[in-house]
Amino acid sequence: MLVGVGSALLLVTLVVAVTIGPADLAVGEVVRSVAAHLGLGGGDVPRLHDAIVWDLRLPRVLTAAAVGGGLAIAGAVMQSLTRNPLADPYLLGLSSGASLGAVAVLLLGVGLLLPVAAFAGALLALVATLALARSGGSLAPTRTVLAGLAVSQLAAAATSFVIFWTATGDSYREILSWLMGSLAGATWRSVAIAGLALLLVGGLLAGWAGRLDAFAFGDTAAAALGVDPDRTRWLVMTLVALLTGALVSVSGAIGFVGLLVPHAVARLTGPAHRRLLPVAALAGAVLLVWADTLARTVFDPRELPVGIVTALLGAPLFAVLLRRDRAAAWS
Amino acid sequence: MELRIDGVGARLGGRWVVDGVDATPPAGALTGLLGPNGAGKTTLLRLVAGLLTPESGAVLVASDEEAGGWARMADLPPRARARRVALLEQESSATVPLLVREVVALGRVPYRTWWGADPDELAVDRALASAGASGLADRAWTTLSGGERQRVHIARALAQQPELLLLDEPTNHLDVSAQLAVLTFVRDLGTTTVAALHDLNLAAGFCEHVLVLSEGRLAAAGPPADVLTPELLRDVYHVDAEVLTHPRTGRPVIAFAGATTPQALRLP
Repeated sequence: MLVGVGSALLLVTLVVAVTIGPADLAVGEVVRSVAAHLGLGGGDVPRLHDAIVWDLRLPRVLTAAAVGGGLAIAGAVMQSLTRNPLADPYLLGLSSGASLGAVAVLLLGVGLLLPVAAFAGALLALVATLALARSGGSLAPTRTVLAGLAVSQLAAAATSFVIFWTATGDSYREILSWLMGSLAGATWRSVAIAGLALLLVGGLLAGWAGRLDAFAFGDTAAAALGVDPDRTRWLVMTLVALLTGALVSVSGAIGFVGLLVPHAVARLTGPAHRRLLPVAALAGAVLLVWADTLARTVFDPRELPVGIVTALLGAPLFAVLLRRDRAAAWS
Repeated sequence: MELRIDGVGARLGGRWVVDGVDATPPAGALTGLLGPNGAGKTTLLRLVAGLLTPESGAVLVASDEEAGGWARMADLPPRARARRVALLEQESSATVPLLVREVVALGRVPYRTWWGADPDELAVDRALASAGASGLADRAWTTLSGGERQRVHIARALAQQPELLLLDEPTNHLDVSAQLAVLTFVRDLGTTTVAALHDLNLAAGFCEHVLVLSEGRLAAAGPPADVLTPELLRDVYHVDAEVLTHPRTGRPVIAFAGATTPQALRLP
């Protein structure tokens, strides 16, 4: 049910978001342009409008959808594996680590593919955070968040430093787009990278939904159900780092989506991953497409980094959830 | 399930918490695991469950695949082990509001295919029904009472279709009728069960066999009427007690008269 509603909402969002921008397009034009490119007939769209749809806005909107969906899945999985409602790729430093990896390739000429370098950065940040957070074999929620904060700040500082040191001209804009996230550079290649990572990792995690649920009663319970807690945690966290690396390599580090969407969606679906993960992915996609549409239109012709919009929307929502759930497991 | 505990020992922080325990809980019956706090009951259950590897000895289970017919529990692959052994921890709770049906479905995790399908889709419903928890299926875990939670845990364990059921203090925090209901249920299940119990009268009333641990060692083993004597209760539990016979069930009933001063606290 919710998956159906979410899918319909996402489809409408994608089409409508493509029509919005400095050049006003009609829904019909968007549909005909896409149909023509997919070889389904259509056509008779002015050449300029067709180029705006197919070359500019559609790749950007689809990238936003894939990044939003992926961040939501990454956040949901990290929250259950660490039994920590505050875990997400941004707060635990994975996103900043991925940004640093990406920037190292782009500006220092480290000989790696961009998404691979971002994955390596995310993985290093993950290892650093968990190593700092681990005390006596268990991951205390507060320690984990503090460790994530330290790692995230360090990686962000190093990213800024690298850009500032090497870039010429408008380096502040570039620093901002890696640290706060931006979809301004999205191309069909970004769609492919983020989309493939989302399908691959999301698909694997969907099959593991039951195993992820097993962590709800703690590590011993998971072990008694035949799920090796440490091995599973590392394997799934590595997949999350892979996903985060791919997403950050096309969008920079976007906050709040991974933290908030799983909490909001769990109120509708409950915490079981079989229902939570698909709906969270759809909700994250819809949210980020609209956040990015706002980011590129509100101060037109100037653009905001989309991370500013997600933070502006996310922080108050987060405050509401925090107040409502005061009795629950936030301590 | 045929189970042999063979000279099993394990250390925690350098101290032998379980030390050279030999026991053979009878197949298809309820065995009580008794002993004061800190005697090593929980650790022994984890060793039997294969979640800890013994530093000495071995927990052996009957196996058709091994030469000699016995396999070490700690050597079984985790999924294969989880299909044969279910463990109910003491005080096992979730902070997220999973539905009861989803909690019970956790027992199917060891049977799932790699894409997450359950080869026996009715197993969860059957487990809910036999634990008498069908009416709770759509409730959130976090809204259940203590007795209901224990019932759901048992349904989850049954969904694992285990040959060996390990229960750590299954009657903790339950009112007396819920305590009797839980123990009646597992006794009549016909599955080999080892339950750590604090209440000696429950153990005497329901268990076919009891193992008494004292400071990690096996102090006594056998039918409750033979094992639970005033002498053993004084030596292991430091209590002064009479053992009577229940006029209706014929099972031992322990009537406590008071505590004796433990050896360690006696003045010189």
